[in-house]
Amino acid sequence: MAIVAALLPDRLDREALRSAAPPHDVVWAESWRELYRLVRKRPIAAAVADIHAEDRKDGVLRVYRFAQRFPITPLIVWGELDGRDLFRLGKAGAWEVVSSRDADDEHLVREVMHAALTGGLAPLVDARLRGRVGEDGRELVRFAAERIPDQIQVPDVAEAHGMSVSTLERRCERWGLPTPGRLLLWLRVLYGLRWLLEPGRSVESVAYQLGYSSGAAFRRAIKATIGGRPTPLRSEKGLDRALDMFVAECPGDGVYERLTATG
Amino acid sequence: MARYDRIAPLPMPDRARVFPAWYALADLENRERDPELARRARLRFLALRPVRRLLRQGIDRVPVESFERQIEGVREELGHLSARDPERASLARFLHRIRERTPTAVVHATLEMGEVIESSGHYRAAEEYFLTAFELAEACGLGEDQTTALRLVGRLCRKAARWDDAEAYYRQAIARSEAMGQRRQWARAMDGLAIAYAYRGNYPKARVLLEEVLERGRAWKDDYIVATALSSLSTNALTAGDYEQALEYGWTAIGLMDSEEARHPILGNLGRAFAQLGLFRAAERCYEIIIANAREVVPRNQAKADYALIAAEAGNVKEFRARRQRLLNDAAEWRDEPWVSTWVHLHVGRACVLVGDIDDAREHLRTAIALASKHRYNEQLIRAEETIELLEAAVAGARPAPAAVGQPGAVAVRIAEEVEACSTAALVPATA
Repeated sequence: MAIVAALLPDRLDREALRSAAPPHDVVWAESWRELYRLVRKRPIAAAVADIHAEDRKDGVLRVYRFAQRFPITPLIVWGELDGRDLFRLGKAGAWEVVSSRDADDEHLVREVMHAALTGGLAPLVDARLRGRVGEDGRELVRFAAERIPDQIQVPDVAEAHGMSVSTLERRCERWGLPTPGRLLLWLRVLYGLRWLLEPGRSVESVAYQLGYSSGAAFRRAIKATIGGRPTPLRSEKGLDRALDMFVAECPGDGVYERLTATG
Repeated sequence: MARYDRIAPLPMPDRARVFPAWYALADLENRERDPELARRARLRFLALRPVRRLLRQGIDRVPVESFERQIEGVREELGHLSARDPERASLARFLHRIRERTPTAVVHATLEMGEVIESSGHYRAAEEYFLTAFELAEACGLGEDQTTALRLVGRLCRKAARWDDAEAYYRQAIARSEAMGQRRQWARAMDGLAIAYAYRGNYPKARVLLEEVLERGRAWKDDYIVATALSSLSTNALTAGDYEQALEYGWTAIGLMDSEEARHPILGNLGRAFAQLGLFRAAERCYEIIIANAREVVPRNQAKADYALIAAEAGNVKEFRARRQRLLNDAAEWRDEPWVSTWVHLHVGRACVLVGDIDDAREHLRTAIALASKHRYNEQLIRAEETIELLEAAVAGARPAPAAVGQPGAVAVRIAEEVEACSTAALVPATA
């Protein structure tokens, strides 16, 4: 499950987030600086921060800096927010806000967390495969893509789907997907490339977040899938090209072609 | 620049990239240090959030208890607005209605709240309400409400002089209403688009659109559509300076309107056309009818201001001053409605210029400018500024050219006689 980084000095706020977060994990930061560091170093899927966490510092400006460094990591702002704060937060790039008044409404906080964590790579890949791979195959890819930050391995995927590794391999072949090992390799690379869209993350930190032993290992994975080096791929266009190449390796199960052919 | 000002110069974010309902705060752009507006904008934002939540999660997937709690939290904060503030009551009503949680109730309440905000001149917030209503109507398959919402956004963009956006929204409303077979919605959207063209001075294009509505309305035998088209053709002709034609279209439209209230705006236009042709008695009759019958504050006081102006235009100084005094004595009735208040000050100010009451004119026009600037009534602002320039030029010795009065033709004279023959109690056009 995903990891959420949080900067909430108030004990009650921490409790509220803790009770709404499961099944996701929360790691706590004590300052904005530490929050930035956590997101840079760990596979953080979303962040939560109280804009009044540090006295005499403009929390909105910190949000702006966060959004500049990590533009695709959702930042949920928490706290007592007046009209001007809310207006400035939108401009600064806050992804969502939870006012103090709503903070102890577990349902509401859970909804916000869920919405923040359902973006990411999985829907992107799913959209590309739609019309090419059937629902069962796409469900498997979605499942794996959502768990890449947890460093999921092939046996974990097989176990979660109640089948052996060899059965999983046969299913992947039938659904027109790459082998499970190759699929996870691709998803790691795509995940990494998406993270690399954020200027605040380095190749080394992304490699570590994905479970590679070094930046060199991640570079080798890129070479084995897309070819070339990661740096030229650090753009929307690069990710787009990588997604195209991944889809080209998924011949699909032909269900959609057959449906089209028979009207 | 001080560090805390770094956010202010950032461009407005794209609506798709900012958190839900944020645009309800967007009227704070360049005014973020206005505490009164910030409080108001925050409440609008908070009030819309439960609706955005229903939209994001799906109505059935939001637990009732949590939803009620969210609404209650907003309600508790309404005390930040003054008890006399009409928006406070509107927000309370809005929150009450969305508790019903049916798509129709939520969409209608959101549209109505958007119109309340629009009347305050806060177009960004109003747009956010209308677009939210549109998205919810689309998600719930409410066809009529989708086109209504699109039309309202088009109107709002027109008022804000965002012509391309206005045209795009009206065209969407036209296409959807046509595809869904909503004839009246289609007519209203076409009408709105025509008005947008007319505002930009493209009267021929507006006329072509309105004539298409008229033609289809007649083919469908739908009096409402025919009357709408005729009414707008009348307005179009009036702004294009074709008063005779404006009277003919308007008088026919009045005969087809099924409600008294719907006739009043057309009568107001007829009054203006009569005045332009020097038929002051008929013009006065139009306003007398509105004053006697309009139940709503806006049309009634609009008509009272025009009634005073007519006296000044007719050169009846004594009568004008008496009417102005009566209007000011009744100020409690219109003072709290910013739009009509602007209208009253603008029109009475113009009348004061005509009769040479310079100090009164200046005071009225300055008030009109202040109100129009505050509430972003662009058209009234331009007219008030033009009038005050004329006034200052007159004070400096340059006499303004008298307004050209057209010569009434046979049609105008006939309609004027018929209007004058109507009693103020009930308007029954003989020939319409």
